[in-house]
Amino acid sequence: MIENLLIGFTGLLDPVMLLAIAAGVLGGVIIGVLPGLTSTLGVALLIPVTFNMPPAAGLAMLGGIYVASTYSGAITAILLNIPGTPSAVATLMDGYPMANNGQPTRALALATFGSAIGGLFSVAALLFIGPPLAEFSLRFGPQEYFLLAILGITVIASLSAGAMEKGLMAGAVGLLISTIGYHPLTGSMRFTFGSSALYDGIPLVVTLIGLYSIPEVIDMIAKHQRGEQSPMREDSVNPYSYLGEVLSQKLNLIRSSIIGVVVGIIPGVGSSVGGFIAYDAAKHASKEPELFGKGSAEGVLACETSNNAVTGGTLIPLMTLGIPGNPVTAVMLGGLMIHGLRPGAELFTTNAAISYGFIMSLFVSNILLVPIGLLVAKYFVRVIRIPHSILAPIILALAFTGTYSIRGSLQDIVIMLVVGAIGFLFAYFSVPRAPLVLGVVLGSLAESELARSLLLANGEVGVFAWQLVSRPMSLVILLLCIYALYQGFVQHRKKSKMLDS
Amino acid sequence: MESTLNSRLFSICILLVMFPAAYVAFGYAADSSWFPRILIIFLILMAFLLLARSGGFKTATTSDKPLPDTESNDQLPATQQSDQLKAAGLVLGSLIMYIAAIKLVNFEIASYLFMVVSMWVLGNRNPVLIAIVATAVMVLLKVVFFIFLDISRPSSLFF
Repeated sequence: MIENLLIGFTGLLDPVMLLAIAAGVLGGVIIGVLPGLTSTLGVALLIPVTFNMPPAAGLAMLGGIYVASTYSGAITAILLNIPGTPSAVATLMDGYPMANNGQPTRALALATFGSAIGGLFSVAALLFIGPPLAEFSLRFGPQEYFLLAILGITVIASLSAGAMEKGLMAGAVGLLISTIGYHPLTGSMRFTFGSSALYDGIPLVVTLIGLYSIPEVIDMIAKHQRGEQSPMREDSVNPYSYLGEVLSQKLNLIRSSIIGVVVGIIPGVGSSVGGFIAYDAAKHASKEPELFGKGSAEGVLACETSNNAVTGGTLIPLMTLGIPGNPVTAVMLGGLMIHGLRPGAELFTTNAAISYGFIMSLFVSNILLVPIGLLVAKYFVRVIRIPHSILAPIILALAFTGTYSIRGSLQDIVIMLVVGAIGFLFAYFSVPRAPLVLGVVLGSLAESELARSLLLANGEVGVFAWQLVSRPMSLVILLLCIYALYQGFVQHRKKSKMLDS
Repeated sequence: MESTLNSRLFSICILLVMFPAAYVAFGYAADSSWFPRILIIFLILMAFLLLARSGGFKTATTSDKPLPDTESNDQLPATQQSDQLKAAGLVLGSLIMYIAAIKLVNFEIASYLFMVVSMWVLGNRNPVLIAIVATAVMVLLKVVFFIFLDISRPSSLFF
């Protein structure tokens, strides 16, 4: 192993490799900032570019794009309250309030450093304990997947503390939206009303763009027409000065990183879920949970550390077992095979130089993320200087084109408008939107795995229920769900009492 | 008081959507629609619960009040809700016209006109600035999405 690490390290000394990594990180940061562009699209579009590159350099560039685009959605989440990527949805809960409180640089710095640390942790996990973690992920059956989805959904209770009815209803609306399209097992169409655009359901990115961009632009225009200025101001603080604050939260960093890696190794769960679960865990563990939602540094760090830790986690089943955990790694699997590499034991023996070179390049990508990410963010912060009368149309045009670019369909724009109207009404009636996003993300997973579990139990609910408590991993996740729900209700009662007094 | 009214209106909106949704969901085969059926029933029950809690059975409860620490990103910060409704109409209407313009003319001209008209309506009266920003945004969109990413342009009637 040490020899292979040294071989991988020497590969980094090639200038082409370093240039590829830097180009990948820069490209990834820009991709994540633009609405409608995702890591999957970035990796898919740049695979052909890697054909003429040495395999190690090509893979390094793809890895850089993946890592950086997962992080950079936080930039627009913090500055504009619009998540650039699904993984940044949890970040805006505290990132945007922190920026609004006059600390945009602090929020961006916390997000950047947290992402880098989470990414480095997950790459170390890939390197040193990848194979046993991959074996662990194979033990997850439909029952465990279903309970994982429920665990994610129980976070809704915590996010809605103080407004439980509305939060639960928002989550249920999200789950209902996830049922649009074909049933995962029977294939029957539901709520499509004959529209082919809805056969595959509503793409998550379209939901995010509509749910967050449209209400934010409406609010900008309403404020502009009243002559109100945005409270956000640039600050001239050196972002590197926040590194000490980040490193002082060691427990938060380690916990969030572990959550991210575990979520990442389980195929199909996703980085946005990792962010929410880590946020919830940080809130429960915090000595100042009342600050969450108002600009808590712990909240920002937890989300961003976890969602970037997911990246390394998703590469574990990919490289050891050839099982892609999300659309990005599915595309990267194609990239690996195009370069003649087969995932599995062979990748770490016959092709050790390339695979260890790729892993070492991920370390470099996560380190380069800091200067490149902060540089892009430094210029992006100037966006807040732009008058709303100019910024609002720009955001709308970007949201419009970004939404169209997902499937090349104008019908997606109509879907975005409908979701945007829902988002506006939610904001108008003071209903939290984060539970809706969680519902959309987890709904199809929950429904399909529940259906599979019941199928395995021959439709007998009693047998299914017994399986949930008799399988060790299911039991652990079930207990975590009960604990998370209990904590959610406790927080709700605390907030209710606080307001009464 | 205002938040109680908000909760009532929200409950009514949910009920207005969920009853037709229930009609549709119960029309599908049971094995494919039990999940949406359960969710719709849950939403209807929750809407009635919220309506009852905000409908004057007791004074406005704490759960009806918007709480900044969980909803600071989500509740409308503007106090004048009619401004929000007007702005919503403006945004949604402009996007519908944008789609229509793309279908009738072409993407580049529609994007340019959308930017120009939007900035003008929002109070910008500097024609040079409007022209520069509109051109820059249109070029950025075309270069990034349709040239670099090679996404196919939306089809239109004329170009």
